Amino acid sequence: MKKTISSISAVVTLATLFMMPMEAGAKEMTDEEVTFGRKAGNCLACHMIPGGNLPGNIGPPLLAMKARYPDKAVLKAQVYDATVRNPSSIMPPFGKHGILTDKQLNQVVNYIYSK
Amino acid sequence: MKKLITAVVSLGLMIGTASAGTDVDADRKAFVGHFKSIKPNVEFADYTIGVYAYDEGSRDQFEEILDGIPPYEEAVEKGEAEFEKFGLAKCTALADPAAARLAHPYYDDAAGTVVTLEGTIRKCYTEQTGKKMAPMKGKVARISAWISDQAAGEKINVKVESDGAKAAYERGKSTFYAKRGQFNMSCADCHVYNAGKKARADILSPALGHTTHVPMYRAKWGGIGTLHRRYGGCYKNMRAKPLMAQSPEYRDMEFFHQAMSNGLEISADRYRK
Ligand code: HEC
Ligand code: HEC
Repeated sequence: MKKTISSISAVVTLATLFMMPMEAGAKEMTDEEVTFGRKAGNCLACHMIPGGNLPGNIGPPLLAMKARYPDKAVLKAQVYDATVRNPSSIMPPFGKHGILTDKQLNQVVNYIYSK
Repeated sequence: MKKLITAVVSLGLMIGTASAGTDVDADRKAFVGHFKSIKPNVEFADYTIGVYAYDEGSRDQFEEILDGIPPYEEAVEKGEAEFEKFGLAKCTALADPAAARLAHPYYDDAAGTVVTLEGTIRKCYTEQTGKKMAPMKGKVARISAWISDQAAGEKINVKVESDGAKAAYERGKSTFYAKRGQFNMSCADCHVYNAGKKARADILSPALGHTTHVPMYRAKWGGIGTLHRRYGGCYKNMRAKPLMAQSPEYRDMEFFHQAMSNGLEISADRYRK
């Protein structure tokens, strides 16, 4: 019995060891940071988004998203995989290729939905 | 992801075997025509200055840099000294440097492979010194730059004639147009379809003219590097794993890439941001 307990605690220690760096590395980014960050969505590389500096102009400005996408899921699908609508799109398939996590996709969608 | 790779590979094979239908000059005309249609006011000959032909502001900066002491000047002079020191003129293929720049890249039918200027320099260096030369920067870039300077003002004229050459050209073309990497992008996405547009603050350069001033100096590198060094950087832009400089894939792509600039002048103004 004692043995099991100590091995359980070993597992717990190991688990926390592994979790710690992950959590430290992914320190809660705000919706804006996920959308603008060069190592995250970096949507400004291609899109003008109100509030973002030095946007590129490869894609259309992301404006009035709420009016244009009454169904938020449709907007998320576009960010998840732009090649569904345009097979030769230059826009990276953020969800399909695992560039952003599901949580980050929701953050990006929430952010541009507010614009 | 695996599906994607197979799709790209089979596309490559499809195009690769269709070499009977290869018409480089028709491809080149369509290529030039595309840029004419997106930028009607830019003269063909101006494509030797790359992205600076598209933007007044950065063109002024570029010209200022060239008017001073360009940051690559010392490296090119060193390249000349190295060419002499290593006895590279003793290799027939490099004995006339201007002719050497104009003759590369070419398809070697006997060897069944594309030969680049850097490939010839490295081979000659090994013959003369018994040592190996790194393929991306340093000596190879300096020597290649000096050799290319000797042909400044002459026009790029890549010849794609034999069936083997045509197959290599088609392989290079499909590498250039294939989507790859985590970002699922192709070279053409940025440097053909979106040339002149801005990715953040970077204006995307047209692929037409990309090979007129290679090897190039880049502020970001703080030195000069070969065309294949730049390929590696752009593979990273697509979040794809770069291939080795002078790998067969890069040499095939260079063969296509240079052929698209046929008719443009080779330039000694090798500065880029
Ligand atoms: C490399 C360029 C590029 C990047 C990076 C990029 N996009 Fe796009 N995006 C485009 C292009 C081009 C289009 C136009 C449609 C197409 O070609 O797929 C587009 C279309 C869209 C649309 C549809 C627009 C409309 O008017 O309906 C949305 C929404 C969108 N992008 C959101 C995003 C978000 C959010 C990000 C970042 C997480 C992002 N994009 C990153 C290039 C890009
Ligand atoms: C995400 C966009 C993007 C993709 C995809 C991309 N590049 Fe680039 N490339 C750039 C940027 C940005 C620069 C620096 C500014 C410029 O010259 O365009 C650059 C520069 C270059 C240059 C130097 C241009 C010069 O005049 O010296 C070459 C050559 C080049 N890229 C080739 C390629 C090739 C070949 C591929 C595909 C393997 C590729 N690029 C894919 C963005 C891209």
